[in-house]
Amino acid sequence: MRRSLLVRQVIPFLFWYALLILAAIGADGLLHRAGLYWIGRYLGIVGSVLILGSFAYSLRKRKIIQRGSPKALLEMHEYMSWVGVLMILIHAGVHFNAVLPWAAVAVMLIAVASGFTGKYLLKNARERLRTREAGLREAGLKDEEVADRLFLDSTTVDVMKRWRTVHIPITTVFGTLAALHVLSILIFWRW
Amino acid sequence: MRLLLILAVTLILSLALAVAYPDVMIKPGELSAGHRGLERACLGCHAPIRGASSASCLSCHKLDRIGRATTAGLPLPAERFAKLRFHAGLRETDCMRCHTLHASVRHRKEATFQHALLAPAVRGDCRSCHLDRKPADELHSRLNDGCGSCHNTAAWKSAVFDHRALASGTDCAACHGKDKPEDELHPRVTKSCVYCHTTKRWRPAKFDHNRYFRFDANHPADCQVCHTDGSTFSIYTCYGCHEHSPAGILAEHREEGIRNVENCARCHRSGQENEAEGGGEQREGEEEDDD
Repeated sequence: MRRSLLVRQVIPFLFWYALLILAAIGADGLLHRAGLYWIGRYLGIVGSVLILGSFAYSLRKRKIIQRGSPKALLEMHEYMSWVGVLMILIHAGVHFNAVLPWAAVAVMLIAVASGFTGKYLLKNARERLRTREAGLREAGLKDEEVADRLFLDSTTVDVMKRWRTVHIPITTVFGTLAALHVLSILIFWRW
Repeated sequence: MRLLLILAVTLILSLALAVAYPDVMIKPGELSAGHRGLERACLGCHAPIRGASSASCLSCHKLDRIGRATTAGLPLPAERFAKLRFHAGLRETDCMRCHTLHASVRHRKEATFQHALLAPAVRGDCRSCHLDRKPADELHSRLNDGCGSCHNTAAWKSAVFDHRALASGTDCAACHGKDKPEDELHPRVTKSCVYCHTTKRWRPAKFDHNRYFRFDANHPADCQVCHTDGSTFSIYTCYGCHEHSPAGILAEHREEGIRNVENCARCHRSGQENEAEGGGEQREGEEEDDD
């Protein structure tokens, strides 16, 4: 029996997403145990620079810059933003103090989830859905039967599509909140 | 266009909330107990871009009053607050080097007390602040010098022990009595450890007896047999047993023209007679040059 998209791709996706958060908690814990927690402060800067650098892909995609292979830039976008997010999560730690930076972290995690959706799930899911649909039709099933058999998979793909379309707006919100957090640090620093 | 709208809405909404509720939106942790009530008065301490300034602290906390009286002028008892009076002699007045009002960074500041800011006289007198930190153990009771001889200002635990600070001098056993190995050699040794060991570490011991004389079954490592003078290992004699007598040894060596038969180990580095190294030994007619 063929496993559904949920088992084959959504669950692994959740696994890698949880791993990102657990890696951040683990690294933060190690830094605290080693007395090197101050490093986390600077990881926020490095992580932000990495995420900003990863937007070269977005600029290339919209033809604002002409240089660079889109495929290579996309890979760089994925890699740099993943590492950047990890660093910012370590920077945030588990200290719940002000709402603004935590709102930025929460929105960042949603942006990551929407990005993961595009990277890990959507393309494969669409191909699998088409393949299964073609197979069912070849087997002589009627439209209603095909739709019935593919209900769970097509619903999952629809949800994924919606997730992906929110990636850029959510990233915009994240960028705005993060910029305000940086601005508040610059205004009120040396506390 | 849609993105611009999202950006504008987020920006305006966040800014409005940050201005209206700075204590919720941007304050990095609760203020210390004495500063409650200032939660929304960020600019009372923080100058935009320049950050929190010591001048704002000093407007309430006069350095020469710290540890003596509260900011309201009420006197503070010396037995509890005398250790805070070093503030009066600070070399710099950069309050934020050590202090913070916000909980999120308090642990960091407390861990990095800046001894460099203290006046030299205060900095050199550790006990003026750390009265109760000297351990009541045997080791520390023997120490007379300041803590700085062994400890640094970063942490107590990274102490580098300097034996020169000990009042007990070279009486190693006073502290290291239990460290003496129960092997064949050490129980026989009655002299100070410093004859063979340094104060930095036990191993490697600098002394190698084989360089002078190699032990064997007939010449065991029984210090007192050869080193009969209890005050030093540098003096020895081979005439402590029945085998070697001065008259017999002298008679035997005179045939070789050797008349100094006191410093045997100079030629005989073991009990094997045929291993004797004759080079440089005094013979009849040569100047005596023993050390």
